[in-house]
Amino acid sequence: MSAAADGSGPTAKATTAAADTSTTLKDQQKPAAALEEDDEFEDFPVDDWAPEESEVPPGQEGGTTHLWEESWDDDDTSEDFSKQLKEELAKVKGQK
Amino acid sequence: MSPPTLDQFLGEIAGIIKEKNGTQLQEYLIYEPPLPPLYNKIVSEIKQFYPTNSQKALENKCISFIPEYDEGDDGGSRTSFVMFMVKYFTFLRDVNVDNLIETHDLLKALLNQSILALSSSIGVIVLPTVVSLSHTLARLAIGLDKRPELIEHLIKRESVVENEATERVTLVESSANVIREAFKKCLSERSGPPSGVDSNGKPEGRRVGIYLMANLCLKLFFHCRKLRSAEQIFGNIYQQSPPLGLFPAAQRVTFLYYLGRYLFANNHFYRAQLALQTAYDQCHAQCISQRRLIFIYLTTSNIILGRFPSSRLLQRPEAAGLAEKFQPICAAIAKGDLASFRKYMDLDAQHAEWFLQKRILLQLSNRCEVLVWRSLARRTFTLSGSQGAVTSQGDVTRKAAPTLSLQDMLTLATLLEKRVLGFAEDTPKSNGLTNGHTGTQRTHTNAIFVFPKAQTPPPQEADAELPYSYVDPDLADVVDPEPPLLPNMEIIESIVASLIEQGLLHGFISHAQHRFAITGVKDARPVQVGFPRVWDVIKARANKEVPGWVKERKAPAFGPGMVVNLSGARPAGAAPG
Repeated sequence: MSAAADGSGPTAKATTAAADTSTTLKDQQKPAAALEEDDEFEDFPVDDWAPEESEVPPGQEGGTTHLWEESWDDDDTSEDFSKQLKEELAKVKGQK
Repeated sequence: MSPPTLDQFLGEIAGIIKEKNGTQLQEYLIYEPPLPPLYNKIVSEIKQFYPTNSQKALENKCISFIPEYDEGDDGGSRTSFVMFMVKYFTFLRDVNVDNLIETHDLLKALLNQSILALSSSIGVIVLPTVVSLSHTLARLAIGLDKRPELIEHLIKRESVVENEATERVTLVESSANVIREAFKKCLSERSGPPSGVDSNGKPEGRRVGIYLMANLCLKLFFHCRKLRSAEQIFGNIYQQSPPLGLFPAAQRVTFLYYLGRYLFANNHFYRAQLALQTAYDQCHAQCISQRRLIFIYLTTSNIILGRFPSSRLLQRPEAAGLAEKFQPICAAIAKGDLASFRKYMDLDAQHAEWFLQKRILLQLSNRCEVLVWRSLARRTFTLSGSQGAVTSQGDVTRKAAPTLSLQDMLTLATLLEKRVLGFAEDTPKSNGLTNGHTGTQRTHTNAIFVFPKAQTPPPQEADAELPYSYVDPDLADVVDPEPPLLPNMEIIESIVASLIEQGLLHGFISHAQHRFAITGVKDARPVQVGFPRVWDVIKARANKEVPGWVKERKAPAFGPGMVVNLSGARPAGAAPG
């Protein structure tokens, strides 16, 4: 049985003590570059945790506000893209 | 002579039943190899004393140990549990893990019997065992599904069944269907108060297993892409489950991830965002791979809804490598750069395969195009729009509304579309999805039904068996509408009208003057009034209730088994492009 190979049989699972939580979570923390792009949503190594454990650790949180930008309109009309559009408008109008 | 180890084992099982210790029962009923030495002893005893044809004797052996317990209100008997024990022992005796298909079938039968035992009055004691068996079956089914060489004969068997007009069921789906029975048993628990919550605020009885079983079913249904079956799970839960908040974090996060994916796949982007944001917020900070998957769909939903991930968010560990994929889309939307957007969303583009594999390419390309057009209209206004003016003539004050020229917008759209088509650059390439039509240019929505006229044979040669040769008489002389390569005034007008209808532009079109006029400006900046923030518009129109997500305790208004049809709900988020 393929399931047996990874050693997570019921006996292994049965020892659900808080003590081994930290080690299993550490095992999960692979370097981001090595993340496998798999569509499968992995089982969590523990069943429950306190709300504060969901908080992103200091240094990685990037602040708690403005994580999503709702004002992103680009009003810069001096960069290349706008210049090209302006030129095109002038060119077409000049042809008339 | 009696098998000593088996007798001892059954004696201990009987003790566990008396103590109603479900966790211990699950720990005792080991079925995955490698078995501990004691269990190997049991197996050899069963082989010796109860070979294949001694079912009844084994049954009597179990009956002699398993105590008569109180018959519960739901009238279950110990028979189903005894039968489960018999099945367990025969499983240990017969299983051959070198044959994974056979193991899968035996395990499925064992799970089935354990689910029957779940109905008895001691049912809740069996629940941890049912959960464990379901987990193993799900893992095995997915593992097998990834090895097509092993299930080749099953696929052939299925196609024979298909010929007999029976619905085709894959191995993964058949496993999911068994686990779904366990889910239903958990959901239909009647003990305790109608709310399903005990005095400690915990789900009562078998209800503790609702989301464990639901999440396993969802994992399998998503794996075999049976979203309609997933819909039934969400519908059942919405009707009968205690609030999601009463369940452990892992179950909540997993469930909301699948709910979000389901809503996303059905174009309910606003609701998907609600479910996924909560999943993301409650996910364990160190579970990077789960956070990453949630984040991908949360970000995609938010971009479609007009909310972009900040660079700080994209620096988080779970977002590694995602900035280079999502930021070009956001930049193209913000600029109104139709050319870059189309090139980036092209099937030959650098990240297209990744977007396709994640099943977000079409949503991004279809829904975000609307936002690009909105920004292009806005850019046209900032570059060449008329800001409006107040003129006084005697007593009469005339206010001219700020306007933008649709002709100018057409000029810019034409320039950008030319860039995509590679005019004076590359010759357009053809690719698979466009049915032989040229490269990056969009094709007719029904391109697969639009056949070149030349292929239609004369009537006398028509072969009825070739679907390609058939042309309905009503359509015989119809000229297929060829979408123009470049936009024209009609297209620009209809795009602007559609943006107005969706609330993304505020004003009206003057058809005679080919201008879009911004209304209701008063003292504000015309550009802010005419082009409101996308997120504000969509949020104001969105329905915040998420079907499938039970947030509060509610009195059961309907009977069990009530099915909620989610498909009738109106899509939230971006309106049809």
